[in-house]
Amino acid sequence: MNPFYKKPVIAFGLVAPLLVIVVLLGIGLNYKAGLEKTYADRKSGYSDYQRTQMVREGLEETVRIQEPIMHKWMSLFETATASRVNEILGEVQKRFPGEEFQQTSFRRTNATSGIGGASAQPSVQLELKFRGTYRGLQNAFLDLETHMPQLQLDMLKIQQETNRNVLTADLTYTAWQKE
Amino acid sequence: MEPLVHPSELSIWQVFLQARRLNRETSRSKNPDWYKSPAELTAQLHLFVEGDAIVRASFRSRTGGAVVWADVEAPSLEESDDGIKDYFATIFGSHLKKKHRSLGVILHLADEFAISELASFSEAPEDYNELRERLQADPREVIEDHSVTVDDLSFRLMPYRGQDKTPFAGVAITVSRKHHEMLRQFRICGEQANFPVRTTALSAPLEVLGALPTLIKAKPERPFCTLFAYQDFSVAAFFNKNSELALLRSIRHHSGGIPGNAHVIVQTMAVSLELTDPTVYLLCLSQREANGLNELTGAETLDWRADENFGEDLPLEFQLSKPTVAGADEEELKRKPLSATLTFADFAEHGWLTQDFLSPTIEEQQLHPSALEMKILSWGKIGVRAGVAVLALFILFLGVRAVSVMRDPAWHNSNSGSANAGNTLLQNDINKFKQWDAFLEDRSKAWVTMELIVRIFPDPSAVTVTEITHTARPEAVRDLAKISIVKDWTITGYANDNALDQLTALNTREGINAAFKNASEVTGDSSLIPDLPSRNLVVNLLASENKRYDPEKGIGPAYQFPFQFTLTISQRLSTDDPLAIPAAAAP
Repeated sequence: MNPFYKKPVIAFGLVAPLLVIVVLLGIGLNYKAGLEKTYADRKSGYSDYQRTQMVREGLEETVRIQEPIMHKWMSLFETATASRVNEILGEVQKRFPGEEFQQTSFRRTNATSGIGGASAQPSVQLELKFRGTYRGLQNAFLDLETHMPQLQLDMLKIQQETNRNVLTADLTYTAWQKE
Repeated sequence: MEPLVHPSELSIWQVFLQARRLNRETSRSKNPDWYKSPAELTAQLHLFVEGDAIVRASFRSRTGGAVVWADVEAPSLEESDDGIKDYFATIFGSHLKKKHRSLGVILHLADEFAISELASFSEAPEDYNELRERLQADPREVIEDHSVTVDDLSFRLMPYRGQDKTPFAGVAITVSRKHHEMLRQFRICGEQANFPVRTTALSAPLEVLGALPTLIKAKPERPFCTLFAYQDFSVAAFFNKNSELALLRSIRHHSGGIPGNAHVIVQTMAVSLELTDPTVYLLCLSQREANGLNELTGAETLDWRADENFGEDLPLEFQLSKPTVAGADEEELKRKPLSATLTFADFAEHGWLTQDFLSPTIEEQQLHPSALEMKILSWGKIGVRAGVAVLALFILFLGVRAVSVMRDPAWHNSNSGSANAGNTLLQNDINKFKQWDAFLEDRSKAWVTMELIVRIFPDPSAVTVTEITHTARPEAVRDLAKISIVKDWTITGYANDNALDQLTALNTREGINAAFKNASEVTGDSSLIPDLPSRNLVVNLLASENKRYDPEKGIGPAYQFPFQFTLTISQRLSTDDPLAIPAAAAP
């Protein structure tokens, strides 16, 4: 080999250009790796998004179905509990006059006993006393509890009045409250 | 092409550019003949220099296995640069163009032959090659006579294998450089025509020395001497009894022809070499008139022209330009007795007889990259092209891939977070619904309890219930999402025999379960469903005789029924039950 040409030819004729190509290929491969990683991430995100969209459609359908029910439930709390109880019982009393149904006591407390006391959900307790026939009382309770599902019965005590054909009923309700 | 600059005067980058230019603009990378010796080329121009002129010029071409000789006009030794250029153009046009890829110019020097003694050496024979290099690089260091002007002379080593008294013996064959410029002009012509022109200058007597094994058919029994006669000089080669070369001597022809006392000189030299009665062979090799060259007292003339191995029309030296091939093939040559001697084996192995006396100067040789560097440049070019192609394909692939990726809707998606957030809001709404649904479940109703009592005691005439107590109370357990409930019913009353039987039947798991199931089906209240795994239903009947029983005594139930009872029912709804109370407030 010609000692004057050996190093320049090897350095610039072989090593340097191949090095440049290798570096450019390296940069390209690095870019491709970055592109593929970003693409994989975005694709994964997109798959999640599509899955989320499908879930969302299901959730939206569920919410759409639940919405009127929920709205109805929330409307239960638009009127004060005591007023609504008295309103319903007043209607019952019209249907069952006299001794068939009579409300003898009504008391509202913020006691923490009963079903409401165990939950963090706000509630009040209602203590009610009635006199009436079995039929009158059951119908009254049916009306009351049907119109006000937020009432949870804590205690019921029905006794027959001595020598009389009427019953006395003591009830304690937990009434759920909306925050 | 621009003139080349010696690489020592260039920067490393400029050296590379010059090499690349040579690679691109010349055929050096494609034509390997640029780097072959002239004797290897298929086209050769043989020039025989004798006296003061080129007396014979022949063009040798080899096509396939056939060798064809053609006499051509000989150039003048006094030819100017342009004259050589014109001469080359003529040869190129008539013999080379489109026929050959290169030309070897072989100058056979029969115009001078001098011998320079070497300084004393004690090296072993293995050092001959090193000594040869030293002799060419710095002859003054090796030549014994330091007064010799070395710049205009060319020295080549010639070892004597026949001198066994010393471990090392040899001389420096010396010729002038006066024909160097002519050969350089031939090379320049080749450079300018981008056509490989390789040159060499061989000493004619040394070439003929290589033909002796062919010419002397039987190995001589005693020492011998060969005298190669040219116009201006003769060369005497002395061989010892083993046919090993012992001495070379040049004898000047001062008055034309072999000197009259030449046989005396030969005999004197033989005596000095202790060669007893040597046989003397005379070879007349002049291409001019051979006046006085055919006569030597006591010598046997070797008529090489009569030898079957050589043609008589060409100078013997032309036919010996490649010693191992000339006149006979290698195998045949080996069968010649003389070729087996150490001397001739050494000639064949080391090429002592075909040394180029007028090789390009070191500077001229360094001007061009070697064949390997040219190959490296070519490989590099191929490698770079391949690399660029790979790079281009890769970039193309990358571009297609990038476009394909960027066309994918997934690439432009950036909504996953908000979609999740939206779902979270919806899920919150659903959770809120579930929570309220759980709060508003029918888990404890007064009218259902009253209906349950009616279902347990279907016959009012058989039983009188005096008191019903029902409680629903949570079981407080910390850290649970749901709270279990215990519901108790205590029913007190009076019953007759039939009712007591019914109560007894009720006081079993099956009985109470059936009663609850019936009440559940009638009321639609799921809290009474008895057979869920999360529920436990227990009944206990306490019945006894009614001590006040006396139908005659009064009409009150305490007198009308023979039995009194207390029925206790307890139902537990565990935290797994759908009606368990949510511990947390609704969102």
